[in-house]
Formats: sequence, structure tokens, C-alpha cells
Amino acid sequence: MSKIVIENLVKKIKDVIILDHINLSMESGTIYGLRGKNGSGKTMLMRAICGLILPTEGKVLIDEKELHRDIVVPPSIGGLIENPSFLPQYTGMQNLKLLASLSYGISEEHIKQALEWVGLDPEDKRTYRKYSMGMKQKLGIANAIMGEPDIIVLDEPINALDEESVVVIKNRLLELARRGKLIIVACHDKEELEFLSDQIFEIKDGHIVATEVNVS
Amino acid sequence: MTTMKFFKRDIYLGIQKGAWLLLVPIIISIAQSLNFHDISMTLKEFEGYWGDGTVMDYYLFGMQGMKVFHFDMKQYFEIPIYWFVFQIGAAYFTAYYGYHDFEDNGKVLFITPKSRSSWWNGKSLWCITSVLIYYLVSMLAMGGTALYCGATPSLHHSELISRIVENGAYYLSGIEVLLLAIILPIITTMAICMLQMFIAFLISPEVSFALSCTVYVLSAYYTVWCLPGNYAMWRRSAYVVENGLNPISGLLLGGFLLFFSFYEGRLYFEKKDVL
Repeated sequence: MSKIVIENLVKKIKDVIILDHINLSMESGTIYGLRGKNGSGKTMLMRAICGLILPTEGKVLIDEKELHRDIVVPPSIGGLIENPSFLPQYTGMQNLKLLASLSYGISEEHIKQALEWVGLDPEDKRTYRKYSMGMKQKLGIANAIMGEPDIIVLDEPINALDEESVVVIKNRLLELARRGKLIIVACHDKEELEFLSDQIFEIKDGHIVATEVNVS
Repeated sequence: MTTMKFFKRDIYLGIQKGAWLLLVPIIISIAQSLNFHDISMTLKEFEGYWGDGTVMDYYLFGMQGMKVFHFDMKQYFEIPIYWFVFQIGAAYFTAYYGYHDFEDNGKVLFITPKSRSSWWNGKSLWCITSVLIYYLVSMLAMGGTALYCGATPSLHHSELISRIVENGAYYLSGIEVLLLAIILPIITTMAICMLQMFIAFLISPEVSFALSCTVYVLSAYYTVWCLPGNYAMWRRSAYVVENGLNPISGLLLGGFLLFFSFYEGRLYFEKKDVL
């Protein structure tokens, strides 16, 4: 069970305000959607939750522990932020194995399961450089969910995916949420986001301008 | 523990990517050894007295750098090209991997292992190990060529090296040779490579590499304690020439640069935004 609390989060980069006094709370077993135009601050908010950026003001609390004070990165998190980046000379399986070797508690079985979940073949011998855009995206999602972390952060996860794959990914995310994971998804597509999310935060110019609870 | 996992990954990826650059020390070492062999054969022919030299003589010849340069209107400054290419080869070997790994994989690498400092620790260990491998390859190439050319398989230097390179070399003890020709150059190269890797993140890897090259050129020109390249040339040591540099200051400078780069890099990555 995880809880994310963001209090008065401000992020400035070269005096430009990217996130402006964000306050929100998120809990396990829920899919949260982030909606907003390009440059609205969705990705930066995700980076802040993953511990990739340091707040200029305010704080991000993960299970009551403050990021960059009590912990460096949330203890159980997986993320796909913007474009996935992997080593082009290795297969998907090899890439995930290499990353898993840097972490604790992710077995080969977990990796295979994550790849199969997103519709990739763990035995595929093609290297990452030969992957299509959709396959690259799926590998990024597999990396985020391998080992089933408590918090899963996905930035535009269904970009470049065909309709069939979108359905597969959506079902997987719903299943993970039912199993108590806290999932945050940013997406341009309003309908997709409404279908997936239990709660949607609309972001504009670094502010949260609306919160929508999805009753459907 | 996570540091060692990163280190293992960096050795695997970093050395694999730059393995072809190990040809630089191999080629230079072989060329320098053949050069030494030619000179020693000529001396043997004309002066008769000299032997074939030892493996250590070949190594000292290869690592000599250049003698202390004094500005003179009538004398051209000639950079010791073999030494220079050897050193910038090591700098290039370690110049880009760390930066590119961060730029390409930083987002994934900082989330998955849940440690920022381990990433930098791993890179630092990788940089130090790369320099060690670079020197080891060079030593093996020199040793192999020396034995092929008929050198005596000994790690003690002979009088021949003082005849060919520097008179003062004759009086060096085994420990002093170890310090001046092996330990000090390795620490100096490590320190310059570590500093270069850190500066690559502050400015850019290209500028950082160019700065390393500049330090080596200036070091060849000016024999002053604060230009670390001097300590990678044993014939500029106070143990060998009268107006040379104290090797202890080289150890202190190299140690300081190593520690500074490591520590500052660690602080930098603990606070760096991964965008």
C-alpha cells in the first residue's frame, strides 16, 4: 500500500515556473490520470514523483517520507518517462535483465512475465534497434511494471501503439490497480484517459486547474 | 552493493564500447619498444660496450615523456608525440561513456536502482579501472615486444637507459622506478580522466576532453608542480634531474584531484535534475 502526498510543489528551471504550488494526494488501488497540453507540466510532475527532479519549493511525500530528504527515490516505483531509452545493441530481454541486475528482487521470471504482459516475446532475438516504435513503447512499459512495484508512473504509455495493444495495456493496468498498485498515467487522448482513470487531474501552466472523479 | 552492480555494468558496456581504443597503447608501446631496440643496436654496434637492455629499460624508454624544456629563441618546442598520444588516448578512452550513459539512460538508471550516488561511484570505479587496464595493456605490449627483441627478462633497469635517455636514471632504486614510472603516471592519468569525466557534466564532454589535451600540452612546455601532466614523465622528476619536480607533490596533486572529482561529482549527482 502506497500513498503519495504533494504539498505546495514548485519547480522552477532558469527562473521559469514549470510547476506552481501543486497540492494533491494519491492512494493505492487507483489509476490517476494527468491531462494537459504539451508543456503544461504533466511530465515534470511525474519526474518529481519519481525523484528525478528536486523541488524548488514544497515537498513530495511517499508513505510519509519526504523525497530528497528521507529517501532519494520512492522505494518501490517503476516509470516510463517520455521516450523509453534502452541499449540498441541488446534484445528487450537483455535490456531488462541488465536493468534488473541493478535492482533487488526482480527475477528472470518477473522480467518474462512483464514482457508477456505487454505483448512482447521474451525469446525474441531482435535487438532493440530493430524494434518498431510500438515495441519500444511496450518495452518501456514492461520495464516500468517488472517486479510489480507499488507505484507505476507512465507518461503517454499508449503512444505509437496499435488499437489491439492499447486494449491489452489498458486491461493490464486495470488489473494492476485492482491488485493494489498506485498508477499514474499521462495521456493526450481524453477518451482513453477517462476510460482508464479513476481520477483525473487537469494541469495547465503548472497548476492543477480541475480534478475530476470518474464514476463510470 | 549497488555501486558494484553499476561498476559491473559499466565495465561491461564502457570497455566494450571503447575496446578498440586499446589499440592506441598497444601501437605506441610497440613503436616505442622498436625504437628503443634500434637505438640500443646502434649503440652496441658503434660503442660495443652496451648489452641488449632489460624489459624495464624498454618500459622506461616508452614512458619517458620529454626532458625539462627551457624556453630558448633558437630552440623549437617539440611535443613528445608518443607520450602525448598515449595520454590523450587514455583521456579519450574515458571521455564520453559516462556522459552518454547519463544522457541516454539516466531516467531509467536513476529510477530502477533507487540510488543516485551509486551511479557516480560506479562511474568513478569504471574510470579508474579503465586507466589501469590501459596501462596494463601498454605494459604487456612493451614487455612482449622487448622480449621479442631479445631484452633481458628483468624488472631492473640497466645502465643502457641512462646512456640513451637520462644520466640520472642510473641512480634510481627499484622503489623509485616503481614510484616514478608506474605509480605516479597511473595516478596522474587517473586524476586527469576523473576530473575530465566530472567537467564533462558541467560543460560538455568535448570541451572537457579539449581541456585535458591542453593540460598535457602545457605540461610538456612548462615544468611546474601544478601541471599534473609533468608527473607522467619520469625524467622530469627531482630524483632524475637537478631542476625536476618532487614526486611527492605529484602524489598529493593526483590524490587531491582524484578525491575532489569523486566527492564533487557525488554531491553534484545527488542534487542534479534528471530531465
